[in-house]
Amino acid sequence: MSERRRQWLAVAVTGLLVLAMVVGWGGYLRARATPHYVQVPPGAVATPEQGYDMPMRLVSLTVTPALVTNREVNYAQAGAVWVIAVVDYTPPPEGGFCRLHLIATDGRAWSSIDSLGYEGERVLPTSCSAKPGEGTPRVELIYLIPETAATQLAGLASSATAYRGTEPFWTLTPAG
Amino acid sequence: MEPIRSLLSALNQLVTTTGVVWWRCLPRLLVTAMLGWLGYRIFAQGAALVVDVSAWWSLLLLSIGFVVRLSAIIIGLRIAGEQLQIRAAIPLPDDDPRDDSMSHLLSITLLPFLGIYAVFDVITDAANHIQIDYYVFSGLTFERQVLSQFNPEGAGVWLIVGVIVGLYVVRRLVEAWFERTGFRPLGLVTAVTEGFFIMIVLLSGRQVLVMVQQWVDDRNFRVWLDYPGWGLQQVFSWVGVDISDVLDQLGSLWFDTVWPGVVAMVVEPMLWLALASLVYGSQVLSAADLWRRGRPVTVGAGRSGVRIGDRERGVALGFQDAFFGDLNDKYLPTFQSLRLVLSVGATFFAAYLLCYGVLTTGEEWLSRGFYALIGGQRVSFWSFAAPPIELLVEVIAEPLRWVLLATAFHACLVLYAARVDEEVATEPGDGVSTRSTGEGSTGEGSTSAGSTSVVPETVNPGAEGASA
Amino acid sequence: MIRRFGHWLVALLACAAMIGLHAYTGEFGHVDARRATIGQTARLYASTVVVNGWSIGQVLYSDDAFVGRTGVIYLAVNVTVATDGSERSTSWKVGGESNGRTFAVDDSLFVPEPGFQRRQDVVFELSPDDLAGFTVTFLDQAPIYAYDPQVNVDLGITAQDAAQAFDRSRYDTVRTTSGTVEVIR
Repeated sequence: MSERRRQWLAVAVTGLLVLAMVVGWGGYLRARATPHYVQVPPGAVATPEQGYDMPMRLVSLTVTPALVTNREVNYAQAGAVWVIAVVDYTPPPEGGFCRLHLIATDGRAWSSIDSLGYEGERVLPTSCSAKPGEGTPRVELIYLIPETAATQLAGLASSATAYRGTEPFWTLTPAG
Repeated sequence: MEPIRSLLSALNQLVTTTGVVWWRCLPRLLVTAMLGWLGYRIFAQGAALVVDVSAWWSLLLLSIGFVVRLSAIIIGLRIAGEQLQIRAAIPLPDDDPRDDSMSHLLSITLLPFLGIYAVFDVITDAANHIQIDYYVFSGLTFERQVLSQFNPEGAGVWLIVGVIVGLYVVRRLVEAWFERTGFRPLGLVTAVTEGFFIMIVLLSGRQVLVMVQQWVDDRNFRVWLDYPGWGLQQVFSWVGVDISDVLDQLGSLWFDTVWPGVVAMVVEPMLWLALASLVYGSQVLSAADLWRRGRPVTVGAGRSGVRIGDRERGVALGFQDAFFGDLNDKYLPTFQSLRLVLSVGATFFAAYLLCYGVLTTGEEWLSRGFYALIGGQRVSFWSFAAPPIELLVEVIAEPLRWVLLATAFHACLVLYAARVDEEVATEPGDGVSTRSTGEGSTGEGSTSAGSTSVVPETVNPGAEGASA
Repeated sequence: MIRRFGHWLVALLACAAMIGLHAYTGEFGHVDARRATIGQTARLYASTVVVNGWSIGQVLYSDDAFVGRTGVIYLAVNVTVATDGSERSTSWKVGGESNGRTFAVDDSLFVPEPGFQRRQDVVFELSPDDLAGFTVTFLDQAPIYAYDPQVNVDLGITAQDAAQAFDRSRYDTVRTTSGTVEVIR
């Protein structure tokens, strides 16, 4: 093999090596940044929030066009429905944080509506503000979704912005 | 028309020679560019991973990354230089350490290299990029910027000063050990230590400058500096011209457009050419070398000879070597290299600037073209798409740049030799003595590089092989 | 001597040319700017935006609440933002450009949840000279960014249009709304 051809072979080998390392590392970064959702068995306990040791259980997931509060009945817009998720949780010593998204099977994610989104108040609290040691308190998370998505719901999972890692995103599924 | 013709011929020579040498050296240059890029990326990524452990470790890894990058540039320049046979055109003695010692080359080029990068903010950009890499990896941003750790405030000042002095001492010790044993890895350790030292000085020095500026702004005498401006404004207002507006516009035109352009398109190419000449070795003797040979020292461009008697020699020699070794190894050669380049002629200077400018602009446009082709994406996409683009652009542009530097330097030498030959031809007899006294022949690269072919003995004491 | 002068002149011209090239190249803007017109839908990641129209006035009411009266003019641009992708973005930045100046908005745009759209107004406060040639920019850029898409919608206001608008509605009251959420049909 001539000197020149040997040099080009070295280029090819080096190129492949560098490309492999770049693609490998890039793939690893991508895997860390992309959430992969794993559904837990219906009604089971899991810790969906990354970084918080807070076991949660989805008690019920109700789809309704009317949201009843102490003041009035809030009807969702035409083509939309309310989803009411009741979650049991055990707050950790440092306090809990529950910002769970409602995930559909096609990957769409809705964040919960705060109390400004509807008139009046409901019975259960909307944030995980209970102190530890008070049993397993309940929180109610309310979502507004298009009607067409109501049959494709997968469950509740953590919002993915600040987490980097390859742990699965546990998705709470309702009992039954 | 003659200047234009000579510009075109210089351009033609630069472009065609660069193209031919680039093609001939392409495989080796590609390997060098790829490995240099990979090495830098590995250490830069490592710096981002350890930054929440300690900013010092992070900076150490970053400085190793820069040493790797510089090594790649040096190797690339030498490959191109071999092809052009630059070595044959320079009158270095056969045992000059530049020839086989990579660490020697690193040690003399590291300071100018990092200095160039500091001037063009590459180092602060790299330190800021650590934050981006950290975010991409851990999803969090840290509260204080990496650079602010090196902000000398209060107790932090003494820590930084202590680290700087400590590193300087360590580097000198390792260097002395290396010179005694010749154990190669020690040379690399020296280079890394020096790189770390320079980076801390540059990053914290910047902050010191800002602090000094703020201190000056707080002083009362600062107001005195404004008086001329107010006076001028008053004078012009009698004429009815709002001078402050005009000055503001001129000032913004200068600082926003012209000065950055000058720095990027005129100063930067010249600095890189000076760095290349350091790598190839214009003949410069250190003041200590001359002293040991028993001649009076002439430090500087021959303007004022500093004559020091023999009595103080022994004591002062050691002192000088310890602290001014840097001065001789780095500052003088860079200055001499600049003089070599600038003395070759205006047309060549113009042709070189045009080539370098078009090359760097082309590189920037190529990079932007790739980004525009892909379109806007979230940062998590770019975290794995940007490195391949960067690699591709660098593999295309860097070898071309190295070859251009080598070609330009070689052309400088040839032109300079031709000019000196011309001068000798027009000055019969007296030519030798005029040059040896008039241009400060002892220790000046510009003279010796060109005049070797004529009078090696009297003008080039170094060629006698007595380099210390 | 003339010869040397010529050489240095050529060198100076080369420097000037390179400085000009550097100024023309400029800095890397980190945005991929695309143009759109009124009524044309443009996409920014998971959401689309379309500018429906604009109006000017001097008094501003937002959601039927009095906001203020300006000495210059308010420009209210009506946009519809729809999210047909998978997640709602929280990093939208709306701005305006005219005559080389940039304008900011007081209230940010509401980006709806997936499957919904929202028709709302964006309000700029600007001097009458800046109305002609006004361009609204929508940018989805996170705090850490590399290269994000931006939509530039030129409202297509010529100097004549601006003059006519001033004649008609300079002192009008602008009623803006932050809109309500609707399902995308």
